[in-house]
Amino acid sequence: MKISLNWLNDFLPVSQEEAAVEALVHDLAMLGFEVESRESVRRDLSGVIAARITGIEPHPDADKLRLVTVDRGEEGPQTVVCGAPNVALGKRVPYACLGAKLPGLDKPLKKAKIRGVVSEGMLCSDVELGLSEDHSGLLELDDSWKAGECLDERLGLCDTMLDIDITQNRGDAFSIVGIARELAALRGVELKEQPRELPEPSGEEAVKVSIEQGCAQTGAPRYAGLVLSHITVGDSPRWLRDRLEAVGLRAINNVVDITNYVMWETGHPVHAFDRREIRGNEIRVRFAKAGEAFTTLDGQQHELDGEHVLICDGERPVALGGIMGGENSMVAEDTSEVLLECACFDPVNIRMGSRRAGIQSDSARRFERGVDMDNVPEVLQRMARLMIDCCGAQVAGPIVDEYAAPRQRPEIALRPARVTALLGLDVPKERIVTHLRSLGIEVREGEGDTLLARSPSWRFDLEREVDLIEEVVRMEGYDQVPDQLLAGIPLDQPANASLALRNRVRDALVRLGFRQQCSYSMVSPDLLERFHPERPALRIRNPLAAEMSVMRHSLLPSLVECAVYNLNRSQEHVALFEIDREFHPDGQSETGCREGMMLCAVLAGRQRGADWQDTERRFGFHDLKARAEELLRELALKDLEWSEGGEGPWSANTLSASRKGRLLLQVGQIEPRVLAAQGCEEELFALQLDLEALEEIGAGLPQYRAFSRQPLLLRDLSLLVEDRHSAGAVREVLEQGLRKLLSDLRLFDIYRGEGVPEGRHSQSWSLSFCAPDRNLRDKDVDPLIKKTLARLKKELGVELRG
Amino acid sequence: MQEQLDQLRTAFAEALEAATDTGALAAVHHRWLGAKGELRTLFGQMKQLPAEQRPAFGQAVNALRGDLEQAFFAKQESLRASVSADAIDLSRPGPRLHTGGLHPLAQVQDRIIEVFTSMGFTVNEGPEVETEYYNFDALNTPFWHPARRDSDSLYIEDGHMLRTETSPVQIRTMQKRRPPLRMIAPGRVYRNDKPDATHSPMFMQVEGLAVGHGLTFAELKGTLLEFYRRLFGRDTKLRFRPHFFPFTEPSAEVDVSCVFCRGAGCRVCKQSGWLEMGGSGMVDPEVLKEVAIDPEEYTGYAFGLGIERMAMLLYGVDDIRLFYENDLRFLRQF
Repeated sequence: MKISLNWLNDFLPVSQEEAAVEALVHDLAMLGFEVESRESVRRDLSGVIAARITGIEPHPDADKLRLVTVDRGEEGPQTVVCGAPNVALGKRVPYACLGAKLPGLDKPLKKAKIRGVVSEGMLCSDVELGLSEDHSGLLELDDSWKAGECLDERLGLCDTMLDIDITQNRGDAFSIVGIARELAALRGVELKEQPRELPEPSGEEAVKVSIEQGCAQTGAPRYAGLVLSHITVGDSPRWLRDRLEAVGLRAINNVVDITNYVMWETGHPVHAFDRREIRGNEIRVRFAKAGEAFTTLDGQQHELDGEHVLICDGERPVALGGIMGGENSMVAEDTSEVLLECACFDPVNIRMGSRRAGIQSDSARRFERGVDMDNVPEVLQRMARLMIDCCGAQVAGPIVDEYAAPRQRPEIALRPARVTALLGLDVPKERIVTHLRSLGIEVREGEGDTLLARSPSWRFDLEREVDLIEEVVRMEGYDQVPDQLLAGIPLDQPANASLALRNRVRDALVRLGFRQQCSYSMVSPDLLERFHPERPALRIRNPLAAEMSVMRHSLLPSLVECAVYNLNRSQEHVALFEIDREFHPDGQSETGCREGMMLCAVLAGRQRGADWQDTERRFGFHDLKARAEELLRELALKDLEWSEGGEGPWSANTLSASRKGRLLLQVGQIEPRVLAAQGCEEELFALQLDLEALEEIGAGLPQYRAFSRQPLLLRDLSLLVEDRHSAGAVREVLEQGLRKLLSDLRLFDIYRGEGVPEGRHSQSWSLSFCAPDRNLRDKDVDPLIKKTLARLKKELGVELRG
Repeated sequence: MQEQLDQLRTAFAEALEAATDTGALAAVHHRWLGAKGELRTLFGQMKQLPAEQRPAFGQAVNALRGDLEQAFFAKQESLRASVSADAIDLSRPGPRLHTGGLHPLAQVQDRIIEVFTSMGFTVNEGPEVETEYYNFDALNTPFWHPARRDSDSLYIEDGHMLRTETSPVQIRTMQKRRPPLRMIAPGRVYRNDKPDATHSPMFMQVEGLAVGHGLTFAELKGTLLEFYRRLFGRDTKLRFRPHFFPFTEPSAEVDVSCVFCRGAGCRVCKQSGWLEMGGSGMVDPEVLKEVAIDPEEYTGYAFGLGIERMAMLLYGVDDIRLFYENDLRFLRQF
């Protein structure tokens, strides 16, 4: 909410000095009202005086210009060139002296030659003075202005606007008075009253007011009206327009402006009806009928339901209660009598009602946070007083006030000891009482040490002891609360094992050269569809956009999307991973969803190369496999059942590892057609590890195995293998046959071509042998190799290559 | 005599051949071609020869010297060339390393978790798809509260919702564990916010909760002060400002003295000297009652902070969307 410091100054002394404004902003922050922005407004009219037109001559050289002589009081007469149409003898208009810095001009005013005639100074319209956008003619000053009087005193402006964040619970502070009240409490000053005394009514004009049975409790507990006559609808005075415009409201006419002014000042939304349109001389407050149509004053028609409150005259609805007035009864240019409304509405009713009707109004914004119900007559008086002063109004009758459901404000017990116990700040009882009273809270002694407190009528957030404790600490100052260090840490607290395991996996991935990504859980349904059309997805009812409308049931699409994004931006080496949740619809779960923790990693692009000492190589399946094996080693996972082949997005080049039938890990190449749909022509390899399965299986710690410190004996074997046999099969036989002395083996070459018969290939294995206790010699190893070769020949038809 | 010359020629050739660096080459020059070298010695011997043999001998030695010098310079040349081929060019770039790394948000989250666990807080997690009960009702958020609107929160078609805070984890934890307890709940949360430089429909939060005998507002302040000091340095200051949250009373907005200007006022803190870090407060009695903890016997405090906000401050990131775009040019910087 925007407030003007000039306006605030009506209630308590406020200075525009920089230091004072700083202090004010700080005080507001420490009261719980954050100032989001501030802005200075300065309209300096010190170089402009009132002048009376004493002579008008035609310009010798221009039809539309005239030479106007003005009386400037002590400064004497002066003739200037003027083109305004509303020049007339005797009129009082603003005259800007040479050197004046006008708000509407870029530079100080200089002597000017206009069509051959020198003009010293100028007569001004609203535009040059920065008063409005009206440039139809000179600003006409009324007869109260004396020639030579400086305009700055009456039309100048020096103000500061603060935009204040009002929290949901503080409807009482949603006004100039509300903010003033808080500051007055903190600074210990008295609030000044604004004029609201009214003369005796000139007659007995009044409308009958009734609130329908049932509507008072949950709709409109109070409704009051007052009839004013002899109204002249016109522009509001400058000071009033200035204040409204400063806080962001548009000036419309004096009657409407005053209703807005009173709302901003008191926080109580009010309304003015054209009395001519109130039929049957009565106001009935009732709930709308379901489906009832009503047109609000902005010309919008709304279909209402049985919980909207309607303000009706004898025949029809005239306002949507607490939200907006009706088009049929709004004040017009020729309105001379008005019915002023000041009513109270149920906060929740207004909040939900305006939401259902799709109307946001300043009125609803206030009523939904709670508006003082006990100040209704005072608000009506204040509004009437302003209309008497600004619209020539007369009070035509008494205030008619129907307070059908008075608000109860029960006493709240407050134990001073509890204040200290909750805050850790010792506040003596007398100070507690002082603080509460400064906020308008009634306090009396209760039984024992207890205090009994009653909320002021404007507060809606004080219902419990703890609410009062907050008021005490707010007044005492949050900065007065000491900072205490932790007492007694509970020791037997459960550790988070799944987080620890997740971090272990995560750190292993980082060591293996993967970068962690973090992507949205909400994704496009099309994306998921491309990877897993068979899986159902959780759909968001009110998504931000179609591409964020379902919860992902697989991390893989997000990883692929990110990899493609980076490949498309010339990031050649892509090694990414993410550990997060997958969401699966599950009717059995209380949240309708089963959330599984997954690791997904991808490799794509150039593994190495493009450097002066490396030859280029692109990522292949085995690069990922090596990393997967290293991960499994780190997690000490053994006894996995391996299978080949994939489905869905996983191509045939996929290895899967399970344990007791539960799928744990997949390592494979993603189907090129799935990638193509994603706009990716690269080969892409992915790894997926089910962290919940991992947690169930339980990752171990690597167990130390003694290694031999004897020198290694190295042997290379080149084997001719039929193409139908895999390296894995050969390796198995080698490991089996040589296991007594084999320390390590490595496949270092695969060869097809000259010297190798058709249908076969050559596998070159490098073997290293050692024994725990002695230095091996050829004679130890040779027989073993010979036996194993025989076995290879027998089982796989493998021969030693010559 | 001729024999002597041939011997010298051979010995020289062998020595030259054997010289593989400039040091050895210099030694060869010194021994044969130097001022006191063997060729000089040969010339010296000329005096002992009969006069008629001298011219022929002189010519032969001169020819030999020409040959040796030519061989020597050729060798020197070739050695120079081969030396510069072997020298490494130190200015060449090393090959690009492809290291792995944690996402910046994970790094910040790790630091937060580390500090709080060292202060005796456990780490608890809960579902991201939640019931309205856990996300709102149990946290004292009435049905009409604006946060519950479609324009603020994201709902699943079946009526469940994406949690808007990690606070539901507090409720779930309190249902299972009795006080005294101290916990934090890190995780993803969701809001119906269009992405822009400072908003994201999904972001990461850490919320904390402590419930026990005699926990006070002062201890909340002390705990957060200690936390921020460990994170930002011992001279960090803390400011509490009144605020409103449905689940705490009294509630406070937490400001930390600006980590860049140390409170003097700068661009990041908008000259205020303070950075807004998150909300906190004493657990509202209604929340404790909801999980059958007697608010007369126990009190508690709770706080929340945004990980993105902290990461943006620590790393100088000016657009929250960068965290979720996962551009490697961004990720590689952390």
